[in-house]
Amino acid sequence: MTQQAAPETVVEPSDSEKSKRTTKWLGIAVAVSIVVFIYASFFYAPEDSVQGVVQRIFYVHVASAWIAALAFFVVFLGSIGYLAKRNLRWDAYAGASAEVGLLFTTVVLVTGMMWGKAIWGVYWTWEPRLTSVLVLWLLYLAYVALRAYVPDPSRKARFSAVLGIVAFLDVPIVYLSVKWWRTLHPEQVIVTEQGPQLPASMIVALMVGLVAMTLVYVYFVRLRFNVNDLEQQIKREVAK
Amino acid sequence: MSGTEVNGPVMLAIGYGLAVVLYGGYWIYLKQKASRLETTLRRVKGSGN
Amino acid sequence: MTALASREVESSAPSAVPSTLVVEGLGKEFGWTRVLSNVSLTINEGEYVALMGSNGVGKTTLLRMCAGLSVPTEGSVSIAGVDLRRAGPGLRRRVGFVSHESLLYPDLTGRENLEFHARLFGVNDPESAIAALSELLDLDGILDRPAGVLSRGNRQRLTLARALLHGPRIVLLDEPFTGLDEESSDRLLAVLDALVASGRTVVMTTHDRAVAEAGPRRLIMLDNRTVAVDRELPVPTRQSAPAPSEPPAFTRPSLTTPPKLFRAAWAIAAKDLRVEFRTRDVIGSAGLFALAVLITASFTMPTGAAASAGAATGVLWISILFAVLLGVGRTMARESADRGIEGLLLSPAPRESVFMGKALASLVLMAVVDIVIIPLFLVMMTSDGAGSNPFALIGTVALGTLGLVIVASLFSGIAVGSRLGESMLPILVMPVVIPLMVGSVELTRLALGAGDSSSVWQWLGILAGFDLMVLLAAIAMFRYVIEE
Repeated sequence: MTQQAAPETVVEPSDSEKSKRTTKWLGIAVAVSIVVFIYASFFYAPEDSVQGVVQRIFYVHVASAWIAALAFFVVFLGSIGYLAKRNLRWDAYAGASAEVGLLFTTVVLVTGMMWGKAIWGVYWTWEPRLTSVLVLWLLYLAYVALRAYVPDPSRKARFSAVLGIVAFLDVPIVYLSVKWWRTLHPEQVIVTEQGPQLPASMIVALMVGLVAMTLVYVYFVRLRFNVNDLEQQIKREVAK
Repeated sequence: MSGTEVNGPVMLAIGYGLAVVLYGGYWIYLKQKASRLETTLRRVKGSGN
Repeated sequence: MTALASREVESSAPSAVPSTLVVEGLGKEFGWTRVLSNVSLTINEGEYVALMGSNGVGKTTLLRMCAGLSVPTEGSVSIAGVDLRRAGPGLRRRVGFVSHESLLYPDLTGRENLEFHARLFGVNDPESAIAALSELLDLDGILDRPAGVLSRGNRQRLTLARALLHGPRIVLLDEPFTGLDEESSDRLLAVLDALVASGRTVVMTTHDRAVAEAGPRRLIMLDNRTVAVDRELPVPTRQSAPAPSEPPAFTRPSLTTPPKLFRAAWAIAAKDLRVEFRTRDVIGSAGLFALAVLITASFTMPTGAAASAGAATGVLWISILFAVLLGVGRTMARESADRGIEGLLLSPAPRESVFMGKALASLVLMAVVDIVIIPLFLVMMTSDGAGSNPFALIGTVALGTLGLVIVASLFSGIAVGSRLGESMLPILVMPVVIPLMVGSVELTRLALGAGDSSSVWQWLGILAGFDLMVLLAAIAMFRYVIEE
């Protein structure tokens, strides 16, 4: 078969060496920031006077939650970007970000359950924020599942972009409905709002956590993106 | 505040442990998948030309 | 979002501009397979072209991109100087497309199929247009039988009639002679001759050299993903029809403005409802399903549990949710079964009207299911009617069902395009409709006289806000679901 110079739409293997080096340095930065984060949350921040040592799970829990929200916002942007520009790169970012966001959300749920068990005595309660996060998790699980079941890349991109946009717009409505749903059944409410006055050192530890988790997020998205790229290259080679 | 008898440090350890397992597991999964795919790609490219 | 902004560019190239078909640097990939690369062609009005090439070389793909059914990976197709991606209704009316699939609805008769398309294309006098084509293509015995029972050859003739109904200036045919007997083939050749003689462009794919030499004056061969041969063909030995002094009646039906958004949506909904009236697929499956859920679930609840306990209203909404999933999934699967949806995409009907039409038909069908389910629910699961508000109940059911139908209609297009098919639909719909379900259950309880009635406006706000949000999102995005 004669080789036809097929214009590549996504794969750019030329800069792979440079990109590999960037990923490597990013990995090192991630490792350092995690060490700092662990120090900050276990040694730098003071022990909570009411909750005791278990409160230290707060840092990884909240930082993960914020980054999960960031990840799903990136899915939303990537979805709009794909529909407007029709470049599969947008879709690849959305797809990678959704998967990583799902991972972060899982961590939020798991750490939240352990924290809840320690201070409320139950792993799970249908409290508004917990429930909203669970719905969020389910929404993006559907998104990731959809991607797995649509083999054609441009169709996958179109379909998941539509879901990525609808899911993101749905989140505020989910939160409101779940909040009212529970407030109207007061017998179930056992969670009180987090006290607004956090000591400054706790806030510093949380900020360190945010930086560390942001780096982890970017690193994971890059790795996921790389896997995606390799899969595409293989499929292209096979299709030739 | 019921159930304060539950052991805080244990829950902290389990929670942190699970977070580490999840993040670490995903990292290892991506790393391994990438290296497996790189091998496949080299093989496919080699046989293709 | 430039693509969104530019999508409604009206193509109304004045009809005086010749319908030259220009293909420039066209390429297409499916998945990781490249089908076409760098195809460039100019086909002038009145040309008669045979498109040849071995199997899988991309003939069909090229034709589908020329018809605007498939979006090019790179390059462009334009007709009368207007890029097909910006094509408005006027431009789509210039093209008639005969594909492998009939694009006919099997449960409608031939005549009903043609009438439906005539309506979408804005044919002024469908009856005489159909009569003219019926004479030309000998459709007498075919028109009043369901399209689904016709033989391959007869269906092919009906398909041809569908494509010619609106007097297209460019006729694209994909293997039109497959399945035709000798007499029908001769007749088709004569029709194509007459089209060319009256100044229409005809482009057909074939792998039968005899066919290619029986009429076409230009041969385009595809090989290795691009144009390999492009040359004149000798005038066929067969005596072709002399150019008529005046184009035959079937090539120039009288046209009016094609239906706008709401009328097109209504035409599509009416078509769906007519099919449903004949088959009773959706009402049968969804209605019985909802009934079974409701009754079975009642055995899982403690006896004497009143609706105010909340569980019963939950069961009610679960049964409605499943009815919608089943019914809407069925409606969309039926649309894509014979690629009927492509017939809609070829028509000048606005893309949004496809969504609105499908959703409207589903809404009507689900309203029927609701009418069966709700009284049964009231009788079986509520202790007494005291304190209940029937108007609030009707409003709640209407808003809740509307939201479910909108989300399910939007995602049903996605589900049938995935490997899981209709089974994908619940996975996509359920997480998204959680606020709607919560709101509907709460409002139903309030309508039945339980709960704190001061929260009624909050929940109405959730329901209305959700419905509005998904309606706007669906109207804006359904086009991306159904394009190829």
